[in-house]
Amino acid sequence: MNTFWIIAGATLLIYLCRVSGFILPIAKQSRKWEQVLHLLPIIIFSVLFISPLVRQPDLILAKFLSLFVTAVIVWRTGQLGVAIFVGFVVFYVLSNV
Amino acid sequence: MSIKKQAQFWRGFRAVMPLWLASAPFAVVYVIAAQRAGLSALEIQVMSLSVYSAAGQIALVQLLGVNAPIVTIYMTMILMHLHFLMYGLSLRKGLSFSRWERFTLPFFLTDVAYGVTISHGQKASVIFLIGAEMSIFFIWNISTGLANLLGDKFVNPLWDHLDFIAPLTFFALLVTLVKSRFDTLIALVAIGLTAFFVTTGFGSMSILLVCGLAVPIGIAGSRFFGDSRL
Repeated sequence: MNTFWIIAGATLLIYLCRVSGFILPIAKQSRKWEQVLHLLPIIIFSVLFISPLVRQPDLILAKFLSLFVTAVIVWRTGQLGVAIFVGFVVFYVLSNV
Repeated sequence: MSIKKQAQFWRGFRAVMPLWLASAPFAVVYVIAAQRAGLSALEIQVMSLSVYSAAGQIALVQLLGVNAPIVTIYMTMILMHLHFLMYGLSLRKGLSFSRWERFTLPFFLTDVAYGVTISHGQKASVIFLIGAEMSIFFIWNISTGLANLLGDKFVNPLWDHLDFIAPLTFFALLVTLVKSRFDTLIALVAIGLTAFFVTTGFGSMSILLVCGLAVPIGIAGSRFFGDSRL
């Protein structure tokens, strides 16, 4: 099959996955959904941040120290961009020590 | 667009900019894998414009490179992206989408755009989400184009470390959401489950499996711990 057709098929399938949550009918006032939707972002971000660290555990101490510094900056200042920048600098310095 | 909406758009656009640096190494990995699989420069760029998923594109070109059956390719794409269903449901909790927006915005939805929008809580809006989506779409396609054009010259020893920005960003977003001991406990449960599923080889299915287990645990736990917000 021509590569462009394969890409088109993959595009359509991925789009259907992306759009499904926007068009599925849900009962907005459902308490159960409120509970689920409160928990989902916490769970999803936990998965997204820990998965790469488990797959590539090299420099793990530097990474955890960097995460600690990032957490402190987010708690104290609420500045995400600053926290990420400083956290990455800490990791880069520690990984080159 | 009104000035207020323009401001919201650019806030969303800028909110994602810390992750721009992380897109370069992923783009290089994708382009190199795609070139090895025999894709042309045009096919490589078209994939970034249409499929628009770093992990999905890398998996797709690797499967193309080994002439995997079309069913295998498409099943892999579905399994890797099913979790976007939850993103849509989660975004609809706080944002109100028009019919047009419900069918167009999902095309540009990514983990990062979702994460940044959710973390901004009440300050986020549909326009903010659009700004975040356009920011990632812009930098991903620029990075693909540059990696396509420059090839090896686009590779830099610094790229070895830049991929840490993605987990660092998601961790920072997680910290903004954790507001109670119960939230911390749920995060720890999710982290433990993820570590288990990733190390036992479930790969990209882990996110679905963890959500499938951690959500009921959280709901059951909220009754036990009496978290009044739930």
